[in-house]
Amino acid sequence: MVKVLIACGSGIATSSYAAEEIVKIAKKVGVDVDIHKGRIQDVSSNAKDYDVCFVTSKYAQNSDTLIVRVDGLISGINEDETIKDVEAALKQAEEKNKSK
Amino acid sequence: MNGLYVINGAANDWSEAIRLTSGELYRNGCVKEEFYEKCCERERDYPTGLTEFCPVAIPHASKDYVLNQAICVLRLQEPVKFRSMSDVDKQIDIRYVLNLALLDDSDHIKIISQVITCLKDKEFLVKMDSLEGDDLKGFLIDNFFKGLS
Repeated sequence: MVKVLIACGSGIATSSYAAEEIVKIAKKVGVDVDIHKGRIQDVSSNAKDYDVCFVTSKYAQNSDTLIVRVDGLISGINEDETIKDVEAALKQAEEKNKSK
Repeated sequence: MNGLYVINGAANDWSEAIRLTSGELYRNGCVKEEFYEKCCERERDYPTGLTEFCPVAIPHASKDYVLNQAICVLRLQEPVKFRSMSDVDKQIDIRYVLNLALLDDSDHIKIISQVITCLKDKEFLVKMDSLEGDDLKGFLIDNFFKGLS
């Protein structure tokens, strides 16, 4: 089980949409996910509790946890690349968990 | 019960545009007075302008400032610049503002999903442009609140 945080500015709108999409992507690649939603401003303090974080806005990486931007899922710009990034991140997190 | 309001208006900048939409939501009892300021705060930190292909912004705020779930759609007389969600240094000419007053219930995920799915469809904007008044309102309710009461 991969523990996922999906964060946006308010923790309610774009993260909810991204969460729906990420659940679909996880199903497609066969990764079990435990999804949590939150606010981007809390990511730096909470990221350590998750295997991977997805954010819908610009975010400065300052955590050991893998953080991936997914605003492409919302805007539709580079959506295919974003989906690939999500797939890769989920698989990477799953592998990492297995090797623990 | 999900409300939808459509207004036409002119604004000089993005905060004026949000003032129009949040004012409409406030007068209809959908949001608290602070909703406007909270939307602006969020917009400064995390802009919600979509893309050149989809000249729509979706400002919103935390559910703490929402009383009844609703969307206010503003059709701008002249485009107003909002910063881009994907690239905060970029400005986009926005023609429609969809101010989202969302509660964290089972409906809101469906609403946001349907709104975003619609906006990704280029034909959707063309259709919005072609409609006025109650026709536009009915069209948006049918699409955004599909499957909801």
